[in-house]
Amino acid sequence: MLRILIADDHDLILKGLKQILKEAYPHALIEEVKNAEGVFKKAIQQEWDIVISDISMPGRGGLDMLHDLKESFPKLPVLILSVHPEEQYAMRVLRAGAAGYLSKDSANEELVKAVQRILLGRKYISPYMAEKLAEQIDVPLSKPLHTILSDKEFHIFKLIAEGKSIVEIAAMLSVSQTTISTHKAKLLSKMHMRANAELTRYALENKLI
Amino acid sequence: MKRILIADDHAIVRIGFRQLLMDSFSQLYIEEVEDGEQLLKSAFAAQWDMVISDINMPVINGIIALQKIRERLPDLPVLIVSMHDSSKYASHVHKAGGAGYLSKDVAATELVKAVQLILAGNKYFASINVEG
Repeated sequence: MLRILIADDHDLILKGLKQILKEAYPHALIEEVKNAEGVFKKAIQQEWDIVISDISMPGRGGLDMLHDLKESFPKLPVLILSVHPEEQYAMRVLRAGAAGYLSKDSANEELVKAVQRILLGRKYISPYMAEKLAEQIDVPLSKPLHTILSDKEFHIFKLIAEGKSIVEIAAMLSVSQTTISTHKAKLLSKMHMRANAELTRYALENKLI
Repeated sequence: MKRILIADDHAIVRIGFRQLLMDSFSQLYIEEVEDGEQLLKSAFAAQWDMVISDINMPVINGIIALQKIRERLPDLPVLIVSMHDSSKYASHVHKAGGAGYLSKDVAATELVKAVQLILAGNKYFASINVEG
């Protein structure tokens, strides 16, 4: 029997999700939880074939949950649902180990398609997102992300990842703080990241510092 | 038999609403539409006991649709639901003649309560204090 765990803090979304899944998989066991802690509790209690989770839930957010969940249950496929536009979050979520990313305004057919594909052990991104990726990324996906940075950007990236401030980096490289800020904004955008902590994490994971 | 018209551009939300109402009321006919234009078309094409509408929808937003419904069908109650948990919207909806305003993140029980009250001829504004 197929076992599906769904997590969302909105009752309406839970009801809707459950109904769509019940129609597609009439014999599946479908259970609902309303936060990240609930997902963990259920994941410990029994095995699931797929977890479908909102990304913004109260308490620990979905992205944090995803990191921890993949650490404890690396084989458990997680499909992330979100109200955020796909281009903002999809890459981040997939990099964090999600099996798929779907915007909540997708049609129900797309949800079922995503679930089907993930249950086959594959990944799912929407056709829209696939097109966006093709447009945005001008290097082969097999290349590490940081290789698209210019040498100067890469240097600054490493300094930021090591915890150096804009002021310190500007002084070290004898350029203005504005110049460093501009480089930083550009490299963050190229890396699809927002915070210094993400740069540090990436740098450590890829043994760059 | 109560007839309810639901307008929301998110399929998951429409299906969630339908399911929630079917679970809570015994005699119900529900129709779903995906945008404000379809909402007006359906609202004027048949008799309804209540409309439940999202605010952010394509073509015509929920507040404008509410105003147009009020002009032609002043007795048809309209419950506005939104992702925005803001009393600013609630007072807009109240001023425009809406029968109620709810944020989509409230519990299922509150949604059902609001629908019950509105079907019984009351108003439901949880986030602002207004006279019904």
